[in-house]
Amino acid sequence: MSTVIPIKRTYTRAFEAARTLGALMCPPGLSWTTELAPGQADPAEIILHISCNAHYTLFIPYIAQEILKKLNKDFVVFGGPESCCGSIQFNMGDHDLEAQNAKIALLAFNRVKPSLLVSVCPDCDEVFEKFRLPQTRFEIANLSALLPRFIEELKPFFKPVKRKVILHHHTIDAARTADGTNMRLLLEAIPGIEIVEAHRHIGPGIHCQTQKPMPAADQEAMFAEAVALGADTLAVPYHSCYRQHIKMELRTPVRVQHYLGIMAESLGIEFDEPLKSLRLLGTVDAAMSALEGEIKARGLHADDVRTYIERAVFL
Amino acid sequence: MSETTENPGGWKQVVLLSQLQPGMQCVQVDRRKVVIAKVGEEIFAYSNLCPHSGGPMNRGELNDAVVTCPLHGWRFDLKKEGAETHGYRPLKTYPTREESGNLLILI
Repeated sequence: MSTVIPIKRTYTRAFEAARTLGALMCPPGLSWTTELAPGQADPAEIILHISCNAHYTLFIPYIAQEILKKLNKDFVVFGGPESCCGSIQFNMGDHDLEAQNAKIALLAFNRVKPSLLVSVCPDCDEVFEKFRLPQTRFEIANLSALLPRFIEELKPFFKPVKRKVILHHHTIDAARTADGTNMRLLLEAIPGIEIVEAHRHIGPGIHCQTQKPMPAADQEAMFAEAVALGADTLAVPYHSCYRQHIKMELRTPVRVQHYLGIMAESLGIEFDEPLKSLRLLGTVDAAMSALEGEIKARGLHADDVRTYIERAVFL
Repeated sequence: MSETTENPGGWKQVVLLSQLQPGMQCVQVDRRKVVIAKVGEEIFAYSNLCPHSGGPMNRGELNDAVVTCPLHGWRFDLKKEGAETHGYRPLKTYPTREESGNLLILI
């Protein structure tokens, strides 16, 4: 059965949004490989894969990169739409192109000869596993599976962060449940973090997707419960959940943080959250005013950027 | 997909002008798949294979004279001989001409 495509979704918009907003909001010090021809790849143990829509929240792979550097791990960062897993094509109804894209990415990753591929987005985990090639010998997992492997190495670096945290996560299957467990493991290791047990914190499906968001009533209930329980932070496992829930900071005293953001605070890694900053300005007009200088400096079309901001930031 | 009639000098007759509709159509020219795109009154011809990873350009999107590959969003300006708008590798384009109601491309 083909997927019904909302009339305004296009490849052009999807990929240009990732490129443009990624460039506008990229932390200094984060760069990525887009493609590697045969013979050009240096081997690396770990591939940190950014995922298309995760280019709106590049602080997430940035923090992961900084942590891996701190631990002297051997890794390479793959990013850009050039590393697309194919889920965009699937959502557009082009299932054959999904397969083609997944294969292209997996073959590129193969050239690095990694033992582990981790993606920011759980959709990528699912697609890469679905299209695993005979020559794909590396483990495929979500980013949240990476750092628990190094938890004992990380513990000496953790400084206290005093926070009462509710763990928003997803439980549709074993993989997503494991992501939530990993997030808990990491945050429980940070001195000062108190995990607040809740009942309305579970998200629907694989993650809080743009096309299948957490219903508004459920989102309201999640934050109402957080406030009632005295939580000051909602920790999220995925970039998509982060994008969907940060707007609630305009109306509740609960801070929405990706779990890596909390870890970064504990580890002394400085980072910015430009997407959240833009969202909390409250309106698209305010966000565009804030970006005006950068838009001009980069020679971007303001109308295009406005479209991307509307669709990617003001969810 | 249309078939072609060969003419001397590298020019290949690919389609009747009267059969061209706005948008893209893919034709087979010898062993190559070529996209013929009609944008307003202009006609462009280019490889169906994206120079990045071989994506099918006829499955992409045509906005004015800029065609987007559906795999990774590389975008090629047909009015600039297929130059990629982000500075990446260009798309292979072919000169076109019209003759006796036919479209010919130089391939």
